[in-house]
Amino acid sequence: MDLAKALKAIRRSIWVYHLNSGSCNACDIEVLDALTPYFDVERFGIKLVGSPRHADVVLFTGPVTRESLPKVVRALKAMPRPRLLLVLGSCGVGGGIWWDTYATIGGFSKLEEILREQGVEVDRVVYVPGCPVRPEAIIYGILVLLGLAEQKVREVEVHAPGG
Amino acid sequence: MLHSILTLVASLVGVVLAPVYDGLERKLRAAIHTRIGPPVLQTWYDLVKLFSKELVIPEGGTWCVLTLALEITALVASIALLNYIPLVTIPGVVGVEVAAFIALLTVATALTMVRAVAQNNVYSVVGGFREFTLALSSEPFLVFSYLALVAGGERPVFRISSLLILTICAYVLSSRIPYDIAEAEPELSAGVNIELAGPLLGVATMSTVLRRFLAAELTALALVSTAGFWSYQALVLSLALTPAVWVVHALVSILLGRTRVDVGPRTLLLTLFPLSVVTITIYGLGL
Ligand code: SF4
Repeated sequence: MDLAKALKAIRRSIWVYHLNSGSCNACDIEVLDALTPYFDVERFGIKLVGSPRHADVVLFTGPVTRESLPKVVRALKAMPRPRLLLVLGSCGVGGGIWWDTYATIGGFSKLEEILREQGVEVDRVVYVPGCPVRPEAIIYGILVLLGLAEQKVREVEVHAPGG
Repeated sequence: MLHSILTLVASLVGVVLAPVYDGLERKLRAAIHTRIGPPVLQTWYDLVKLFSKELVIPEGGTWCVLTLALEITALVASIALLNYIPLVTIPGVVGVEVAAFIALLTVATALTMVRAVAQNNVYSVVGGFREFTLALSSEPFLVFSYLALVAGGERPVFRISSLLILTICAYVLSSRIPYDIAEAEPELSAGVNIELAGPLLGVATMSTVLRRFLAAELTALALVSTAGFWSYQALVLSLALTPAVWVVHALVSILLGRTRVDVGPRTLLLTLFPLSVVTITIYGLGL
């Protein structure tokens, strides 16, 4: 699929679906905060929807508990393409403080492998770290995801002195 | 011929403007919340986006697609008939056009229920039954009041009483709070629309917007005809008055809160039934 063309249409109308994979709920409160009239995200065309079938962007929180894993995969499978994911919080990004516990799979990096195995393609992912994430960062993340704002953080290779 | 062309133009204008009126409603809601809100064309942007997305056929696909196609056709046809009726009929006569309009309106509601059940999802089935309850508690009164207005003749009190019933029923037809229980997004995870994605959801969204347009135009036409206008004048005036009625509908929905799911239909029955009895009594008294 032509992602650039698909993103162009979504840029003016961004429907988000909130998917909690077992977070402590602090990130979720920040998601709700970002959707309140105070931030007025409707001015960017952002709207919260109740079904993954309607979603353009999934706001993904939590380290993916074993209990939630099948439901998370099903919800992402139900999304029409292009599948855009905004992975929120330290837990979502890499499992956070639960990265190696027996009850979670350890965040989106592990989930990505499972999704690949199941044939669920994800078209673009943007990570928004923080514990919890700030609402401004969530809005900024959506804009980066759709190419409406420049990503400020770059990958930098650091070498030990003399190494 | 002239009548058909006029009807076509008026209906086309309605179909194009309905999403713009919806955008205006969202802007108005934002203004009341003291926020900027989306652009006026936001509903059109949403529709364009939905039609550009992947087509996912839900379980029970053929039925779902078929009913959705028939539903939108029935709605567009009822808008066209509503525009056609004042041009070709004489006030006080219930012709075949009026009967067809009522039939199409009922069919559109019935198709929403069939679509909901065809989707094979428990939320959509619940939404479908909610739609059914609402239809049962408002559509008979809508048909009664519409017929009363068309065929009621020169009885001012009777006309005003019928107009009141029609105004309430038209608001219910517009599927706004608290009568949006069939697809109540925050509460029933999108209800009747839960399994629809991309272009199919686009058609369903357009059908909701058109239903709102129909409800506003129907009220506008009833007001204009009660004021004594008919034919071309009625068509032009009702089209001009439609955005004003839309704004009133929007204001009511912004000010009303969501109620428990059974309260809406029950309150409707408790209001509309006595009102209809009073209206019939007024007719009997010749007022
Ligand atoms: S990142 Fe922090 S705030 Fe967010 S879910 Fe994990 S522990 Fe909670």
